[in-house]
This record gives sequence, C-alpha cells and structure tokens, in this order.
Amino acid sequence: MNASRHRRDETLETLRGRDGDAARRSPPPAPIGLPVARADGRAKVTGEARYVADLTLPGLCHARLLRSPYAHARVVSIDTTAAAAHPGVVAVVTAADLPDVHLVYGHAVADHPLIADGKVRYAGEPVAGVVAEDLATATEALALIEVTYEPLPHVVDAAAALAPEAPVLHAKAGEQRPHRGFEEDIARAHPNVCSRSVQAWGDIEEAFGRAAVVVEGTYRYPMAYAYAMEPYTAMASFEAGGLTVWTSAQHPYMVRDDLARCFGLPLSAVRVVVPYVGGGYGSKSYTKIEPLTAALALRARRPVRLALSVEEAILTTRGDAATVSVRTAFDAEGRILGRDARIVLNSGAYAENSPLVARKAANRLGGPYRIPALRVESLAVYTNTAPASSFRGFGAPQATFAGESQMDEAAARLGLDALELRRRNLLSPGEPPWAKARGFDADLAADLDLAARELGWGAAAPGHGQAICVSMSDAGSEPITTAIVRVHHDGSVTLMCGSTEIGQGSATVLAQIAAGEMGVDLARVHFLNSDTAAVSYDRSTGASRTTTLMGLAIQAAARDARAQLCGWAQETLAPDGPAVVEERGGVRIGDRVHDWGAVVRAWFGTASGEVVGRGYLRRSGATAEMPPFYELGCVGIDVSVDEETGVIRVDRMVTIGDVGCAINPRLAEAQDVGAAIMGLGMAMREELLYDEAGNLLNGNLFDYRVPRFSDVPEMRPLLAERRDGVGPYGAKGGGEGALNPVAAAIANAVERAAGIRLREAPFTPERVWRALRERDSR
Amino acid sequence: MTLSIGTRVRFAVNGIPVGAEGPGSRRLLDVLRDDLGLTGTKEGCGEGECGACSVLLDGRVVNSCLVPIDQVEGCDVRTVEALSEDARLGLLRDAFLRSGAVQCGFCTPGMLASAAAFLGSGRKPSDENVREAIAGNICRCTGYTKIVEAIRVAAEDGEALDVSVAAAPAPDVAGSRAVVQAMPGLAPQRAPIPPAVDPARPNVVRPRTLDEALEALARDAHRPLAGGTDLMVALEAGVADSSVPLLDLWSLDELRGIAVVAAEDASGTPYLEIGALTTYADLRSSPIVQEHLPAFGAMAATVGAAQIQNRGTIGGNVVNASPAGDTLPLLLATDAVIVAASVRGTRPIRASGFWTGYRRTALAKDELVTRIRVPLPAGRPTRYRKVGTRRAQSIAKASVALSWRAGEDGAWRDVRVALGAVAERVIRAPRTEGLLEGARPSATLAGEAARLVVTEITPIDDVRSTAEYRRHVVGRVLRRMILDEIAGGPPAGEGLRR
Ligand SMILES: Cc1cc2nc3c(=O)[nH]c(=O)nc-3n(C[C@H](O)[C@H](O)[C@H](O)COP(=O)(O)OP(=O)(O)OC[C@H]3O[C@@H](n4cnc5c(N)ncnc54)[C@H](O)[C@@H]3O)c2cc1C
Ligand code: FES
Ligand code: FES
Repeated sequence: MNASRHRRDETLETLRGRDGDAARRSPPPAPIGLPVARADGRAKVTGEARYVADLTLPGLCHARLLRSPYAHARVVSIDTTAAAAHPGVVAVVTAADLPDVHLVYGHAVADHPLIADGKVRYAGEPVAGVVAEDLATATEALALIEVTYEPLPHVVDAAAALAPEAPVLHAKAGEQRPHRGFEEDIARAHPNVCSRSVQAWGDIEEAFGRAAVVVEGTYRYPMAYAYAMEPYTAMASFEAGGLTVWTSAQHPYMVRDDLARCFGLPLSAVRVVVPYVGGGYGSKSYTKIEPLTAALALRARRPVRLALSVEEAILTTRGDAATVSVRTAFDAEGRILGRDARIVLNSGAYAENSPLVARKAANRLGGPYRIPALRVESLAVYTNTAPASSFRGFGAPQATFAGESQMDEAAARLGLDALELRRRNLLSPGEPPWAKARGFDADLAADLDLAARELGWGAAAPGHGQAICVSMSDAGSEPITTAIVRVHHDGSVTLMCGSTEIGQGSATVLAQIAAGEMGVDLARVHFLNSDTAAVSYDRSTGASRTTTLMGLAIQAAARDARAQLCGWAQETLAPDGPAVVEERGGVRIGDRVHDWGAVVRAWFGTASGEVVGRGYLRRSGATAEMPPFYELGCVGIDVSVDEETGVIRVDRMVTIGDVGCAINPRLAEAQDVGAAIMGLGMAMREELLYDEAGNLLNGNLFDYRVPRFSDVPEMRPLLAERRDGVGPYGAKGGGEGALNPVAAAIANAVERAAGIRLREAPFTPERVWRALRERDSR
Repeated sequence: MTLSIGTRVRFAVNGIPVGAEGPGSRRLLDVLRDDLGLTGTKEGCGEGECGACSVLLDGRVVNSCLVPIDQVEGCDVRTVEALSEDARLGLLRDAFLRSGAVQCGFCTPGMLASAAAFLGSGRKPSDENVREAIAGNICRCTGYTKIVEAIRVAAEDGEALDVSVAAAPAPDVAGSRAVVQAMPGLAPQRAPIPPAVDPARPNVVRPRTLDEALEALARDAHRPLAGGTDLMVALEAGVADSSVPLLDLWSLDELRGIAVVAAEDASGTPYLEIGALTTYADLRSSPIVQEHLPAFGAMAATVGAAQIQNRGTIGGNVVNASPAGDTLPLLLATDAVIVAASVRGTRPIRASGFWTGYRRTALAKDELVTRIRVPLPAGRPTRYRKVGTRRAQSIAKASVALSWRAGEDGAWRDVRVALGAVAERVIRAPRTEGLLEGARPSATLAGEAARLVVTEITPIDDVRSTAEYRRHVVGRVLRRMILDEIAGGPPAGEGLRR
C-alpha cells in the first residue's frame, strides 16, 4: 500500500467526519459515498472505449469543409463544378444545394445557418462541404471550389461593435426560441446586441450616496477555448425514413430537436447517439456540426463522417470574453451597500448560448453575498469572430474575477482582513440572494474557515502572497429530466437515462444512486445512456446538474419500481397473508425475504419479465424553486512572483468542494482538481487573439498553451459535505465551482506578494512585468 | 534503393506481424486506426503537441502522428490494446483505475504509452521525473495530479513485483483486436486499402547508404527526412510541398554516434563529433556529452518532451534553421563546424556562416549535413538557458548561450554570447562579448551586460510576446547566468526551469 494514498484517504475521512455533519440525517445506503472505481474505466484503459471517430458504417464517406478567409463578406458566387467532377468526390454542398432544409438553427436565438447562406460573419465560417470516398480526395477537391467574396467592413472588438457606425452582423434579429432560457426580449438598442439581461433590485443611488468606501474598476476576462481533447466529430446516416447522428454532444436531446426542425422530421424519426466523449466542459453543449453533417449525408445519399481538427474546433466554439466594469459601495464596517455593473461579452458571430451566459454572468456577479442594492446590465454582443457559447463556469469565471477582486481591493481600503470582510457579507444558510430565489443552500463561512486552515491563512512565506476567493452560481438549469429503472427477473438493474458521460463520472455516480436506491449490488447495475431512440428524455448535461437532477429522477424511478414490486409481491406472494414489508433489495413477508428478482418471477409466473420504474422531474415539489441549487466555489492559493521576468509561480491551491453529499468522493475531488487547473490555464496563459483583419492568430495548440504537468502546483482538494443540497442524500452539483474563483484568487494573491493589481487576465509574464515596471515608476 | 510506391512496409504491432500499403510518408497513426482498426490510439492534434497518439516504438514513446510508416519497417509497435499482454502496462492500467487518473479517457491511451516508457526506463519515480516523463501528453480533464500519483503507484508496485524482468508473452491475435462494438449496426471495419498515390503525402525514397542518398539528391530534387518532427508537421499543415519526394535518412546508421575525436589541424584542439541523426534523447543519455559538454545535455532536456526528444535530431534542428531552434545558439557559442556532404565531396561550414537568414542555410541543394563538430578546448565552460511560455514542451521565446575561457586570474577570455529567437536568425552579440572580454564577472558587470545586450538584438512582436519584453528578458537571463557563475556555477537542472 502506498503511503501517500493512504494519507489522503485519511484526511478525506477526517474531513467528512469533522465538517460533514453527516449524522444530521441517516447515513446514505451503500454504495453512496464510496469512492468506487469508474464504471467506464476499464474500457478507457484498454482502448476499447469508442469515440465517434472510432466508429464506422458500411459505405461511410468523409467530409471536409471550405472555410471563409474573410471576417465579414457577402458570398457573391460559389462555383463547385470542378470539385464535383473530381474523381472520388461524392457530393459538394453549399447553402444553395439545400432548398429543402431549414438552414437556420439555434436554441436560444435562431440565427445560425448550418452553412454560410449568402454571407459570412467570421473568418473560418464553413462555406461549402465536400463529401468524398476518402479524406485525401475531399481535401484535394476543396481547392477546386471557387468562391467570390465581396468583403464587408468588420468588427472584432465588442466595444467597437457597439459604436453607432459599427458594421452590422445580423440585419434582422434572430427568431427567439422556446429554449432560450433568458427572460428578456432581445433589445435591438443596437443591432449588434445579441441579448441584454438586467438583474436589479434596491436603490442604487441611495446605496452609493451613503458609502464609506467605493471601489471601482474594469476587469477583462480572456476569450478562451475549452479544448476538449477530442475535437467535434459527427457521423450521420439517413435510413428507414429517419436520421441517425452519432456525435460528441453533451445534450443529445437538444441536438435532436434542432435536427428535427432543420430536416422537417418528427422527433421520433431523429436518433442522436452519443458514444464515449473526449471531454466537453460545456463546449459540446447544444448543436454544433450535427445539422451540417446530416445535410452532407442527405446530399451524398451515403453515411458521412465529419471530424474537425483542433484548429477547426477552435473556430466552432469558444468561451465569451468579458469586460466587466463594476463599482461596489461599502459602509465603514465593510458591509456591502450596493453594486453597479456593466458586463459586455464578446459573443462572436452567432448567439449560440451566449444570451444565457450573459444572463448568468449578471446573476453571478453579486457572488454569495447579501447585497441590498444591485444593478447589473449584461450584454452579449455580436462580433466578426468565432461564435462563443457555454464553457465551464458559464459567466461565473468572468463575473467572479471582477467581484472577488473588488472584495480584496475593498478590504485593503477598509483596513480589514479579506476573509473577515467576506464573512460580514456572506449569505446565511437559507437566505435567498434575490427575491423569489431558492434559499442559499450552503454554509460558505464554514468553507472559508476550512480553506483558511488548510492554506495556513496569514502565514505566507516571505515573498509569497495568499488569497481565498469564493463564488456562487445559480446552477442546475431547468429541472426537466426523466429516468427509467428496469429490474430484470434475475434482480439485476438497467438504468436508462439521457445524461451524457463526458468524463465527469455520471455513468458511475448515477449507477451508484440506482444501486443504493434499489438495494442491489453495484456490479448488477448497468447503465445505458445518451441514445435518444433508446433512453428517455434529459434536457441537458451541463450546469453541474446531472448528479442532483438526474439523481432525483433516478430516485423517483427506483421508488416507482419498488412500489410496483411491493404491489406485485402482495398480489402474488401474499394475497391473503401478512402485509408486505419493504426491505433493502426486496420484501419481507412474515419471516421470509424475497429479493426483487424473485418478485418479478413470481408475478410473471416463470423466470421472465421485468418491472419498469419511471421517474419524472419538473418545476414542482423540491425542484419548484429556482435555481434548483447553488454551485459554490472556494479556492485558496499561494503564489510568488519572479520580479525579473514577471512569471507568477502558483505554489499551492486549496479547493473546497461544497457538494452537499459526495456520492463518489474520489470523482467529486477529481472534478475540483480538473476545474481548478483549467481555471489556472485561463488565469495565467490561455487567450485567443484576433488581429485587426479578423483572423485568429493563435488558433492552434502550438500557440494556444493549455496547462501541462509541469504547470500544476501542489493541490489540496477538500470536500465539505453538509447534506444541504436538494439532490439525493443532500447532494448538489460540483465540477465548475473550483474554476470560477481562480483568476481573482491569483490576482489577489499577487497583489499581496508584489503590490500590483492585475485586472486583465491572463496574467502573462509580460503583463505582470509591465505592471511591476509601472509599480516601480510610481 | 527502394521506392515505396505500392510496396508494403512490414512491422509488428503488439507482437503481430503486419504490413502497410501506401506512400511511405503515411502516418503510423492512420495505419493503426484505419488499416488495423486499432482505434485505441487517438488523434488529438496531428501536430505533435497533445500526445494523444503516443505509442511505443521499439520501447520508446513517440507521437504516431509524426512517424512516417517508412520509418517503422522492421520495428515493434505497442499500442494501448497490448495492455492485456504486457505486465508493465497491466500494472499501470490498474493504478490508473485505482487512483482515479481517468476521466473522459481521450488522453489515457497516450498517457499509458508515455508512462510505460517511463517505467521501462528504470528511472526513479520521483514526482519531478514522472512529471517530466509525461510532459508531452496533455490531459484537459484531470488536472494531472491523479495521473502522477497513478504512475508512482504503478512504479512502486512494479518494483515489488519486479516486472522489469518479465518479458511480454507472445501476443494473442484475437485478443488484441477484440474491440467489441456496443452500437447496434456498427462493426469495426477495415478501411479500403489507401491509394498508392495520395496528393497530400509525398513518396519516400529510402537509401541504404549515405552514398546512395547523396546520389539521389544529386539526381533529383528530394527533401531529406530525419526524425520528421518538423517535416511531418509541415506536411500536415500543408506548408511543405508534397510533390517533392522525401529522402529518408533514418536508417543510415553511419550518421549516428557521438565521439571525441583528436584534432586534425594545427590547433591541437580535440572535438566532439555528433552524427546528424543524433536525437535529443541520445544527447541527454550520452556519458561523453555529460563529461565534455554538459550544456548540450541540459539543452536537449528542454526540447519538446519525451516523444520529440526520441525522434528529433540535431541535424534536423540545424537545417530547419528556426531562429528559436535550441541547438543553434550553443553551436554558435562553441564555434562548431557543420559538416556538409554531397557527391562533390565534403566541406566543413562554420556555424557562424551557416545560418544566412530567416530559415535559410548555407547548404546547397544537393548537400546533406552528416556531422557536427564541436571543439573541446580545455577550460572552456559553456552554458545555455531558454525562456519559454511554460516549463515543458515550449519553444524558446528567447535563449542565451554563453561560453568563455576561464583565465587563472578569474577573468573571462574569448567570450561568446549567442542568442536565439531574438532576430531573424541566431546571432552573436559582439559588443556584449567585448564588454565581458578580459573582465572578471561581477554584479556590476552583469548589470552592464544586461543593458548592452538588449541593444544588439532585433526581436519581433508576435503572438507570444512583444519585442520589448523579449529584450528585457534576454538582458535579465544573461545577467542571471553571470551572477550564477559568480555564485559557483549553474543551478542544478539548469535549462529545465525558467
Ligand atoms: C511538439 C514539438 C515540440 C518541439 N519542441 C522544440 C523545442 O523545444 N526546441 C527546438 O529547437 N525544436 C523543437 N521542435 C522542432 C523539432 O523537433 C526540432 O527542430 C528537431 O530537431 C527537428 O529534427 P528532425 O530530425 O525531426 O527533423 P525533420 O523534421 O526530419 O527535418 C527538418 C528539416 O531539416 C531537413 N534535414 C533533416 N536532416 C537533415 C540532414 N541530415 N541534412 C540535410 N537536411 C536535413 C529536412 O529536410 C527538413 O527540412 C519541436 C517540434 C514539435 C512537433
Ligand atoms: S495527435 Fe496530438 S500529438 Fe499526435
Ligand atoms: S481524461 Fe480527459 S483529457 Fe485526460
């Protein structure tokens, strides 16, 4: 046994005992709370796990896309004759070839043509697709397509896009879709405003009027790329009157809905299958290349695979860059009186999910604090750059960088300890952050204490700086979810649900919940997911919702199965006898115990049959209030700064995963470490850069540097389990929280180490060096 | 001389003999995935950056997206599917599962390949060593800590079991192909045999001797191919002309080897002779380099990561002539000689005259670089330091090589300062050299040198940094190198950090 492993488990145990307060409710049934091995682990370490690019079909063709070299242009003409005549080419497809297809999709605002339709709005937008017998031929044929463009004035910067004379990307507003997820109408105050969200309460003027201290600043969060290692890949086939698409998507049901609309098919005729997925982090939410792949298959009359390169994937979806101008008013004791902010997101050429990111950024800028007066205006702005959409944290990293930086700036001005200032303002458990919201479901003050203890708050080594920052996200998205639990006649269980396993571990955690609820051995539970023709509806896999919401649906389905089984047992095993008593894994009748399999066999009269348990979740009961839960972030950090080169060295990071109940502590912990390191990447280095002409300068892995082994500091991931979430056994979501406060934590720690205030991420050595130089010239 | 059009390249995958068809520049990755259905090995980036395609080639970890099949002839390739047959991989697999080192799993096959190579190397599984061993593999999910832990656990378990002596048993053909498909209606399929002519993939000529190679080069235009870590990336990106056939030097063992050679001229100075095909891994592990030119070993350790170090060659670096190439400043600072050969004969080219402009060299079209000679005068320390964007797998933002003759009086003589990535080619800094010449290093002098050297360079603004910052950093690095000498020599692991 390895010593370090042992130590870690011990710490975990202690913490779970100390802060877990698990005794508050009855202990959850095994295997809940156990660090069982991943259900999909073995397939992944043997190479058996098949991702979309690993699948094939008889007669499969391969596709490549021709992309626009211009940031903004009218497409005057496309000549595909030579390409179509090239030997080995099966089909060449442009918008003109798709009169029977509804070209425009988008779940929030329908504004995105699946292939450029008369106009290109960013450099890299697909203009034509070639389907060929093999990739080499498709690549060759691309060069034979002649496109005439008429370049238009373009704009890459969000602030510039809001100028009165700025070039307009979308002459008419996109149609708003029922899925839009934000309440406001698209205000066309400026035609480049894709959406505008406002979160406001209290009397702002009054709050600032009586402030003892006002901190004010503008904070910039970079245009980042999620970089799932598997680029977007899809394979489509029209057969038997329907469409089947295999894709690396997080939300298969949402993709299904878009496909049905594009191709005029009933939902039942569209099947979206998601095999193993090589990372998502939000970037594979919603529809990406599936409609285009299906359109190519439609014209090719053959199955088609479209596998993007990393470079193309970067041009497909990125995160929203943000400029957050914010001022916060405090009284002399450090209580927040009000916060007034404007968030401008650079959302790229199409809406995608940016309207919702804007909405969430507004909600999350207040943080986990009691704020009497708040006014946040949040704009998603169209620019001639690659479209932005969901990305882990979802408005929270952008907002938290600004909000938590200001907390430390204010603490310094007020002469207060930064943690003390936070304590004075934190929401109490049960307190709603805004009117009609769910009461706060966490004890962040306790999390702060835990982080402070673990970091050694106040005892930084000479030359080092420390900081602890927190975040709060209204998470969980819509509670619209279904699940099916089938108990077979041997008592084993099949769990069917629409949640996608993207590496976060849902296949394992959900099976644990089903095993716990049915009282069967985990090894006898099998999980089937993400095939819209085979499993039932789940709205999405995102917003950290799966364990909580799908968990609740599974609990309901298991309850339904058990209730039916108890009825069956009474009916067939004790028609006149004593009342059936439910037990773990079966029923007791008198002094005899029958497991579920026996009940099924008895009811069907032979070794056959099964029971089907159904679980539904909607805005009602425990999930009536919105948001379904709050996701918390609490990150402590210790840094030093190389004054000569401006290199920030992050030495230690502490994360508190306030997840209510860790169904699988090892997986919960792993999510936090992954999220924190991703946050570190964006805080320190990651940023997509555009030049004046609207070309992406570093859209490849060589220039866009993501963290590697050598960049990772000493990590201390801790879990706080107070069973205070709405989900199963008090669980609530995790997996994004540890990312959100990282940029602010580093900026605040650097201020303590080096006396410079960084308001623009990423904190590249050069930016730090410039700040140091400015400090020295003061 | 063999032309590989239509020929079969024969090698073994997981112990099974296989043959691959098509142009010799086809990627090993495509043969594994498309021809052999071994889809466990993933394609992440196709340019050597991510490591998802890592496999073991004769026991060394390589990026299969950068290996042309022509160079796999007769080799033993191991992929993640070999797990069930290999005791060492088996340990790793279990450790990865137990430690929670797997999330989405996309990086896992490549990660296991790097980890297996590391365990096979017998190096101590210290945190530092493990991190370095896997620096060429990205994982976006886990934040890495669990992977490091898993590899350490496997190494400890392996020691306990002494698996290093357990040879892999004969592979089971059915087992390694048993990639069962869960999706209805989808069976793994053999792709059609790829076309013998692929417009994006040049053909490859594989000479058996240097003379054959030189003859081929004299006759027709060919592009020499060494480790392919620059060339395969250029081909993939479509920036290299794919109609020019490649001249594969990889099997020319006469271009390998590191030796100390006695002086041939009147100077009496011996030199270190390095074959053009010498890889960074060779440089790092060579006791001769360690003894005579440790700065070369330290430099080699900063290039890419294990996958690149196992394939990239000094000859390729020299001819590729990138101003950020890591061997270049050292070769300038040591006044090395690059030996060029053609059917016309052999000629030595001094490093100072070799790089003539941005990515241009003094090499004639029919010439190959065969060897590199680095003089080894007594009492002449050489140092190298590189500034990158991050600590592993980073191209130099700026690099400094410093060499001098230590006088008995403590003064430095014949000082050479060479700089990379700060001009359109690698350059010397003559005014700074003049300042340091004959002086005894001091803090004041170090500061003056830092101020002077920035006036001698013409860095550019690019995505990675501005000229102004590059200037500043070069000055600081030079200053720090001088100060370190005053304090008694370079810190341990020099070159690895910055
Ligand atoms: C991920 C990654 C990381 C990298 N990191 C670094 C780094 O840190 N530092 C660094 O300096 N480089 C780095 N490189 C670049 C590359 O690995 C090196 O330049 C390497 O030394 C090239 O050698 P090679 O044998 O692979 O060259 P090849 O790609 O085979 O050839 C390169 C060029 O040299 C020519 N050539 C090769 N050998 C000869 C010869 N004997 N005679 C004449 N011409 C010849 C070829 O025709 C070609 O034009 C990196 C590359 C990658 C993909
Ligand atoms: S695919 Fe990324 S290194 Fe080969
Ligand atoms: S596990 Fe997903 S990239 Fe490593």
